[in-house]
Amino acid sequence: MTTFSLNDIFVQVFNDLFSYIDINHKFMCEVPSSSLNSTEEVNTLVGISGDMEGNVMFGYTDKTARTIASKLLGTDKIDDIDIYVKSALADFYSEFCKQFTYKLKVETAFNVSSGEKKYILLSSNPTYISGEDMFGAISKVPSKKLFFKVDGEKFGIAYSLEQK
Amino acid sequence: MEDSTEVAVNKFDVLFNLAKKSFEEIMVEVTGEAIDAQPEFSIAPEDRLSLSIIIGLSGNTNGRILLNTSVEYGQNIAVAMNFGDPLDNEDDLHVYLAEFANMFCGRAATHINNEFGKREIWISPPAIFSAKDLDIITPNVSSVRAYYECPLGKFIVDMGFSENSYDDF
Amino acid sequence: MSKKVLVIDDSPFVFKAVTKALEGTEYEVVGNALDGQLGVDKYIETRADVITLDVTMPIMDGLQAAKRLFEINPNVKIIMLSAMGDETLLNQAKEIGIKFFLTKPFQPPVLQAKLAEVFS
Repeated sequence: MTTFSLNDIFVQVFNDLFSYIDINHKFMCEVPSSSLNSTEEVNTLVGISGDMEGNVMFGYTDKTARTIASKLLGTDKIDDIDIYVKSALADFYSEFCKQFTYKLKVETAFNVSSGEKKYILLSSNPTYISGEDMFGAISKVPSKKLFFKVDGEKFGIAYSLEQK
Repeated sequence: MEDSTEVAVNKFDVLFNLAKKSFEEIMVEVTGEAIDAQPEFSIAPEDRLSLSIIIGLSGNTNGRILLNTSVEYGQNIAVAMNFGDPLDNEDDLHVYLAEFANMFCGRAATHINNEFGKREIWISPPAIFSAKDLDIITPNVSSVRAYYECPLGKFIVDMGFSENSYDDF
Repeated sequence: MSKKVLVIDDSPFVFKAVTKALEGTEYEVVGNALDGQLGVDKYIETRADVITLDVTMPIMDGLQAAKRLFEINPNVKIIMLSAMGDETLLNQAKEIGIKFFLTKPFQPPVLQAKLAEVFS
């Protein structure tokens, strides 16, 4: 398809958004994986469909969820991860994926000759998932995991996307 | 002339009924027995591992489908798909359930797109999560549920639609 | 002598299901491939008598794989598997030359009957 890197776009959006909400953040490394699994305390899942299909999963700790939510809601401390907190987090990850799909479309447009069909990329509503002894299996196709640090805590973006 | 709210509600009804129809068809084909939606019940008491299959929806309608059950009932589906034989290993549970979910959402997408005469929705690949005290929330969606109880166990089909589009492009 | 079956499908479940459905029959599953490109390579290697072919796969989808397979052997026997009969897809598959179709999920007798039809 093209020579741009999906990783680069994810890292770029990550840096933009976490800078915007003023939280200490850093990209650590990328790890290829045979399938998209998760055992994190908290996960947010966004489906991608259209000309590229798959899932993006954000995995993070309860502490990170509260850190992000407190910035979004403008409070010092989050006592309880209630529906308002989850809604704020969903909006945050929705924005993340909107920016990702937008940048991906822009990147792809430079590689599509004029007259070709409109490139479609859609993201579904983010779903917040938490529980004890969590196991999540998203895909058996090769995926990538990007590790970051957010305010000293680990934060992961795992994705499995394929061109249709 | 119908107002837009009424049109939206009717459209969600159509989408939900087609999702239910798809689930019922797949269950018949896997188990050989017909199932019907029933009055509300709850599953997965706190000490039992919950299991949920999440399927993202996007396009003219945004949202998601959840298929909620327990690990035990999920295993029953996997065994049924294995023609009644026990699974070779634990990992196979997710393999079989992923395929079940693919068949379910593929069927739903076909019914929906045929009903609307165009590509109404796109469906993301399914995700399967299991945990104690599994908590799954999709904020900003209105959801409706259908409850099924059959020899394989209890299943809840939960379909949620967004009031706002998540795709502005 | 067993008839050789090749499974080309990105779902490991389908490989298991086909293998299980054909246990004790005259058909032997000789391999599986998780994408269309690997599937074409595997066909060249095994020269299977019949192929079960999924539609949506990474790298190379079922329709593209079918075209390549017909280029290699115009008489190759292919059963296309899909989750539901999508009319547009069926028509595209027929145009390529695929004559046999099966909807997932399938029970063993249904798959066996379809194979009997393929070889009749």
